[in-house]
Amino acid sequence: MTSTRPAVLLVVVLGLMALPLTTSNDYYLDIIVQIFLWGAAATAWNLLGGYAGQFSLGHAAFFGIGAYTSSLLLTGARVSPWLGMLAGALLAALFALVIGYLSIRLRGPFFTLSTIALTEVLQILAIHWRGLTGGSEGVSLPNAASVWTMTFDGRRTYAYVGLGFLLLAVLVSWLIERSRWGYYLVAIREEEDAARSIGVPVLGVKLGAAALSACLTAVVGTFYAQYVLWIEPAHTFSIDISIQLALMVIIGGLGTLLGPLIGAALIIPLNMFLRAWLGAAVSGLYLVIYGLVLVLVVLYARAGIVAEVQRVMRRHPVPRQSPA
Amino acid sequence: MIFVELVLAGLMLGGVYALISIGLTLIFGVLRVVNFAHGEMLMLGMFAAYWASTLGGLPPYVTAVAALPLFALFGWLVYRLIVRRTLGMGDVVQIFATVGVGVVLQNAALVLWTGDFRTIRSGYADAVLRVGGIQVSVPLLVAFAVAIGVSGLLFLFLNRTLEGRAVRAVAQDPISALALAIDTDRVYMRTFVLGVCCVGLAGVLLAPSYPIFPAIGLSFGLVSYVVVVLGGLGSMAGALLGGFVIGLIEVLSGYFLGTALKQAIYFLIFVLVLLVRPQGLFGQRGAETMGFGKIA
Amino acid sequence: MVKRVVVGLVVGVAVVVVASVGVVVAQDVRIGTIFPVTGNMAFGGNEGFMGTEIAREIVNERGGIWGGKKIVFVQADAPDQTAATNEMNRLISRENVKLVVGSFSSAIAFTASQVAERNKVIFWENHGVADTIARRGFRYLFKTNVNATGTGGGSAVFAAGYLAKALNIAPKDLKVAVAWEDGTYGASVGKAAFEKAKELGLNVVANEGYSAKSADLSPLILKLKGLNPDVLLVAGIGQDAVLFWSQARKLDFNAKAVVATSGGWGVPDFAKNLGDGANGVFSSDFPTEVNPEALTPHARELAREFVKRFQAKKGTRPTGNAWLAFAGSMVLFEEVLPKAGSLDPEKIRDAAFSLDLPNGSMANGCGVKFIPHDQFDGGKNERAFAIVGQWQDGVMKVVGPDKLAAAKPILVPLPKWSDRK
Repeated sequence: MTSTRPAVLLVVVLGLMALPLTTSNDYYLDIIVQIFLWGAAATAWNLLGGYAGQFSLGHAAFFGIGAYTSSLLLTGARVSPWLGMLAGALLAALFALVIGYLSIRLRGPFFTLSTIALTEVLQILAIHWRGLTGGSEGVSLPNAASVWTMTFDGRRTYAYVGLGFLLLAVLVSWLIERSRWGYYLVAIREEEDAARSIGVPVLGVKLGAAALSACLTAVVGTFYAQYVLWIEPAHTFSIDISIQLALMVIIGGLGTLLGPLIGAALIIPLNMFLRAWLGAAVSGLYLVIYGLVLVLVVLYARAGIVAEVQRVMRRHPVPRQSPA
Repeated sequence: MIFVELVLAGLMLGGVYALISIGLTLIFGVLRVVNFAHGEMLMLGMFAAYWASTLGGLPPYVTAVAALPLFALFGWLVYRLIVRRTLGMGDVVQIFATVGVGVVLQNAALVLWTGDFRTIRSGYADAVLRVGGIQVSVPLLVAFAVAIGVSGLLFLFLNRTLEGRAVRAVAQDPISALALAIDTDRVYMRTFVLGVCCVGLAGVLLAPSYPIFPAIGLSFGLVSYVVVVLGGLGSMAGALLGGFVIGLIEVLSGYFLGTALKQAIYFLIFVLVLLVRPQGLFGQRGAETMGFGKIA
Repeated sequence: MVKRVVVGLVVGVAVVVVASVGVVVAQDVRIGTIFPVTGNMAFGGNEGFMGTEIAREIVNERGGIWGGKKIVFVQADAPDQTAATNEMNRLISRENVKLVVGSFSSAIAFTASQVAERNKVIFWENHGVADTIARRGFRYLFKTNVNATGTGGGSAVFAAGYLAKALNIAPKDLKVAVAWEDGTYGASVGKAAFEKAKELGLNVVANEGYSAKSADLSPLILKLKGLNPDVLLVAGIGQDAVLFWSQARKLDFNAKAVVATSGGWGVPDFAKNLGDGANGVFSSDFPTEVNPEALTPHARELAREFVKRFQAKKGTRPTGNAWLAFAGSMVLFEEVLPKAGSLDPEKIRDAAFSLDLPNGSMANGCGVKFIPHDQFDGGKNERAFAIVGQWQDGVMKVVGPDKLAAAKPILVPLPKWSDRK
């Protein structure tokens, strides 16, 4: 896979760091925080979906595990979310490994279906085990601002923390791209049986990607919980989150480093602006648009918008960045 | 006495699930495409019945017939514009093309008709049959009968007619079928349209018995995947049997374990089946792990 | 670089949006409203909004506040909790609203008030019943309505008291089944009903949660049918109430009495959808069209005016939810805001806590006295109470307590489904 040039990355990182400084308005800062947050989660999804070619529509499960683990540890045992985050990541990775080991034989849509089913089960359990999770009333997190509890007064601070998580996810992806693991992933994605026959440890590589993807998603889940300060099953373990992550990555560019972020940067602001302009009439409209875009991108621009724009700009053939 | 009622309720529900799943298993069996928009197509069928009843006073069994051309047209459009382009194109295209369609359908319904629950208020909807001390809802009984009838008809079609055999040939080995001068594209198109008509019909027949709202596609859609995987993808008998099994499990587990967990039970069964016996009760072994071969 | 171009585009769009923000008229008092106007709680949400809107109209017509300023609503629609968060963010950050009124739903109230509290914006909740709403130590939340313990507990009290006597069954022999939707609202009310029923020594045979998003409740109905309870206590939030009761009809589940707890069972659409099937259902509900003798003259006048306007707009008489919205909003617009003198949150808080109005002062019969925020249930109106209503001929009539009753209970025991129609 084509590795993104360091110079480009540097420019992007500098641009992102400058972004929260361009506005003081809470509404726009909220959009920026959300772009970073969902961009990070989408980048994490990309590890499994884009690089390993396993399309999960159940990443909300890892997101939720991260959010709930750190939140319950905070409210129940006064453990800092910075530590709780690690516990959540570990738990999510374990979950991914167990489920992955059992279902990794399943190809394509069956893997996807099983991920959907598992998220539904987690959601039902989260609602039902009220003693542990507070049921539908969810978990309320303390308001008081303190670095130790990852709670801040200003959205700009949240933006920079979110940016930190985003850069972490991007860094992890970048390192994988350039490593042997990365080449294994490409081999498996392009032609799994051939890869297996030349000795690529397919199961191990895929499980590793799943675990890493789960870890990072869970970490973002913790950040999300600390940002909204209230989580509950219906939204946290929701298939809408899973679909949105996949949507962002596919639109931006599956298997590319910055594709997920670009997808997030396109989707989040458009949603917010649509809501502001059209008010209540919009509920659902933005999803109609994104559904259409998803179908169009998947049929006519599989490499994502990034690749299409690059192609137009450089007049080169599309680089092999997507699964056939 | 209550046990009899439970079993009856389970079978009725099972009939509902079977009816919904027939279209899904047919499409998968032949095109090897999992229609992630299946639940949303059911929802459209339900709304069709609702609007026909509210605006035109048409009872559902009339709409069932009158709306078939509409469903066929819709299925044809979806096939030509979208599904056709996904065949042989790999997982991401096949999964997300229909996921996208599902998202569009559900949210377009939300925008057009809002999330309010609608109910068909007609004598037909409330009709019940009383036998002894037991009461059965007539619309559900009709759906049950139609489920059996349709799967029977499809079975006959696939096994006793020339056209049906062509369909099975394409399902088994598309390349050889081509070599035998079977127009695979036409078979795919007709099968897809047939599948969409089945699920549309299911929607119309179920409309009197359930509240109608855009998100209902999600709940029924998810169950239909469970049924189809349990029964075996591509198998009519599997869809029927799988439907009954899931219906019974849902009602019985709801009764004994509490309604909150009933859904968790059948999702767990779903995952279990996928792991232990992925071909389901009647499916062909290997059908599900064959992945998506490159078809012309 | 491509990436820069895209980011630049996004920022450019942002600039355009900023430029298109409308100009605020200095004479208006901008207050935010948040209700589920779409979605499965829409009929409750619309009722709630209508009640709030009528209050605004009346106040504006009678001279507005602060020397003639008119109240203008900045509306938000929150069909679910995600939308609630987004909309509150929009109201507060983009529309600069300092006071928000809502919300019909406990879940929406819970979420929206979180956002309000973080931004030090006053959240004036007229409906939310879940106990947990006012127990988070929030400083900027005011809740004018009764708690789950009031409605949920009230249903159990009614069963043990009036129903046991009317059905001629001793309370300890009265078989009671409790069912509730497992969201914020239902779980809270159901818990209160269950605990009160046990406390009163009733024979509780079931305590079942269900998902309000289910398309099919038949396993639950069949389970209840098998247990054959005398009385069903049920909490449903929205259209699940219609589903529940119509499936009960289809499956022939017959209880001698049903005491619901408002929510989806207490709105006019319930009666509209169930037709004759709704009649006879009790609801431990919010006060509605109470006996005018129980009201102060001013409240009496407001009540009359409200019913008139609501019927003109909607064609039906208002039920408990609409009354909550109207009465609670009138307290805010007529009593609190004039005293506060501005939208400053601290001034509003002081004005609200200074109120000490006896029962009968609110248009729906309640009084006003807010519990201080540093105490348990801080921000809640301790003079709010529940009543028992019953659907009679498609209208919810107040049948208890005696002082407020406008009608007598009927259809005890409920006729079997097979005897109806």
